[in-house]
Amino acid sequence: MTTAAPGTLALGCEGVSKRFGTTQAVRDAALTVARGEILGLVGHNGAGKSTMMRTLAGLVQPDRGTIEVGGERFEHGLDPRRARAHGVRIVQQELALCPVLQVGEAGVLQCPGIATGVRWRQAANRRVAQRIQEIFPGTALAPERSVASLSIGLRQVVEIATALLRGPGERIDCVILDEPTSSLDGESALALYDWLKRAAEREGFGVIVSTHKLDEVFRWHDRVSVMTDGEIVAQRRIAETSREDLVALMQRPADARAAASAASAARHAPAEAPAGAAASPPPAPRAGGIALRDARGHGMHGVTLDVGPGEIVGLGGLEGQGQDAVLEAVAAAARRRLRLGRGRGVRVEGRLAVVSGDRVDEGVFALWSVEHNLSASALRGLGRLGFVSARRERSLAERWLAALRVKGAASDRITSLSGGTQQKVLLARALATTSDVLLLKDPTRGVDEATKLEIYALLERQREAGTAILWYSSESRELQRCDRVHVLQAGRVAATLEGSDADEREIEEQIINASFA
Amino acid sequence: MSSSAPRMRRAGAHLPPWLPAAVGAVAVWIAIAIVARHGLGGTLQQGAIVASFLVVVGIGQMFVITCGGGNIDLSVPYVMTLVAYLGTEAMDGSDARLPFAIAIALGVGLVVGLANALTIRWLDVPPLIATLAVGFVVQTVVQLRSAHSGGDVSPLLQHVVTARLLGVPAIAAIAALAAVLAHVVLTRTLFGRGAQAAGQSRDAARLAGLRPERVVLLAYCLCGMTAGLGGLLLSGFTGGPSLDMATTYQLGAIAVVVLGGSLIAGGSSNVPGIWAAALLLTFLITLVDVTHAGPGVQPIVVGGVIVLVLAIVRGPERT
Repeated sequence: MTTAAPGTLALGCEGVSKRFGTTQAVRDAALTVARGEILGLVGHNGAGKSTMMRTLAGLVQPDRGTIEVGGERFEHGLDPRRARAHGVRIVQQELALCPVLQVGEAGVLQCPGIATGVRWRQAANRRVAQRIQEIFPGTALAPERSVASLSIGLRQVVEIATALLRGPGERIDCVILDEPTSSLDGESALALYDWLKRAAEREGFGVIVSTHKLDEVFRWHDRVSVMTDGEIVAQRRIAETSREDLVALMQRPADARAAASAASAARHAPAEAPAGAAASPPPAPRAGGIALRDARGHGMHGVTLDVGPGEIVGLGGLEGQGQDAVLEAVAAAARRRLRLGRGRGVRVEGRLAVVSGDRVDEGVFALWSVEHNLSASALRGLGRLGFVSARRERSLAERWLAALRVKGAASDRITSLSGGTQQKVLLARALATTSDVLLLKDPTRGVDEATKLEIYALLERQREAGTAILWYSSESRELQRCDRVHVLQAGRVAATLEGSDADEREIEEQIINASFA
Repeated sequence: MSSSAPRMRRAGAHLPPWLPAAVGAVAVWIAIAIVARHGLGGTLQQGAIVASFLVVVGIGQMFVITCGGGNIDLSVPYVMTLVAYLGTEAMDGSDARLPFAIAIALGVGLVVGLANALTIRWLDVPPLIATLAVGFVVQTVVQLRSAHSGGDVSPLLQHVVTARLLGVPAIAAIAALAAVLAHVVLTRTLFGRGAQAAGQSRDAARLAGLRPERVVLLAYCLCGMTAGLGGLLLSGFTGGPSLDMATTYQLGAIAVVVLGGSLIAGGSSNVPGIWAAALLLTFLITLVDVTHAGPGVQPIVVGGVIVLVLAIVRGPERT
């Protein structure tokens, strides 16, 4: 337990630059974080936040730049081992746990020091469970569970708790969290910040946290650094800035156009898309829909809901209250229908497309180009007898990439795009098929505001074309865009909110009320 | 690591994955010509004939491996041997009955492929074990059958595997055609894309509507059928079946896929590499033979070269 005086330097860097191929990810960046302080890092997707944070934690070697931590200066970057030895801890954005391990074992992997004695697993489990309860009080999560069995929200909980374990003789000087709340429900996000605030002051470490949620910035952060196109364009004390100020700082030239042209992009995309089966929403009215009647199993305890053509229905509530189960059941019913006609208590009409916010596991094909990723679901319509026409595939991809304003060539690897841009490509994959029913599993997770607007506009367009959309979101204020929101609690519909008349604050309040009712 | 590692890998991305195997094959080819004072053309003709059988069975194996998730087919040599016996019996020295033998080759392959896929899917047995077990069952059938099996290979089949058209061995032309076909299927069909997608992420493939389960089933069936055809062609080459005629194809079929630059973990495969690797392996064995090295040298040299080529193929990804 090394407690240093609050206010002294926890971690700093100067002149940090990093280039990946042709992309200058970070350019001459400098920042400092003091002990006891929470520093926010905000910026659009692809602004370089993740690279910046990974560099500070020694996961990326900078091309140039100095990092200062624990009173020592490093001229050529750090490596993960040395960063940890100097008290730097990082929670990465893309969840990076081994699925075959138990929660306790995942903790040992992060911090071998907690596994002591012959009964090392029990010792580790105790420490991990204790850390989880300290940071996320009341979370029901046995350390014996396998990581693979956890929802994405609980995995984030595990990732945060295990990254912050402290073995004997280890110190924590700076905690770096890359969009930790993008896969946490509202209550867990609150608990995390509450703990960070107290622990940072008590134990004297600095915190650097990136987020897309400006509410968090104003409620919890002490200072904020704004990144745009790889540069830190401004540093502000929270008391001396405003929401409008930050939003203006984050705007890159393209963003100003983005908000304005999002709607027009969506309007033009379908018109420009190639004719035939592969075209995005064809003008013909759809007759797809979803109906659940007292559906049970896999975490559902009697869910009844309907999604008709041209409707967007939201699933709200805290993380892990059965929303995933509903989406799984609908997807399973759509598959089963091909053979048996209908599933138990779940009925789906029409062709189904799914967009998941879990890009790494359920989204991108990492070895493929942007083009092949985009066309994956539409292949059937791009040729005859199971063959795929190269010409039609390329033209489909290029039209969608232009409509979505994705920079870069169709032949670039998908992994060369930022997370938010990858998500746009995944949405295009779903929309490029003739789907009557669209399932959205938190599709805007970790996506910047400008891109979100574009995605909303595309969904709106899809609704007008008559697609039935079922949308689960961990961000309550998104759900105001739905016709109806079903708030789930413990596998049941706890409340149904009729949308449109309520504004975002009311929706959020009602969802929170229903969740804790 | 998900965001930066692939970007760094791009540095070597413009080199085709089959290049190391191709360069190796050419080097060994020239070495043989120098050591044995054979003509380059003659060496290539001989090598291409032997390599053709590896290519045919390698193609099926490639589709299975592409599907990822540990999918692999170890039943290949047993299917080849069974088809060699049943096919020879069916042909019974008559060209008119050759189509019947081909139907048997495809049929047996299809049945064994289905058995493999369904054992894996329904009994949830790892592919390595499941296909080996199915293979042993097939082998038992072979042994029961071989005791009172007769017949002769049809003259036409023997002619096909040995004949040359304008200096090109007919069998090599057939294998080349099969490779072109396989390339188109892998890169430009729903099935090929589905296999690649399944190999990268089974969940993502399912959500994208690519039906990975069906794709895997098809891949095993295809692999069974290429093994069947390979067995029939091989029986034409050897002039009749024998119990251990296909033993080397168990690992050979896998080696040509992986040496050719396809990922053993699936998701990324290429067909030209199968030809390059098949020629490399064939030439290597020839080279060891013509140098009159002792009997133990062959496995050492072949093993060493495999490790070397794999090190080169995988090299750029590590940095």
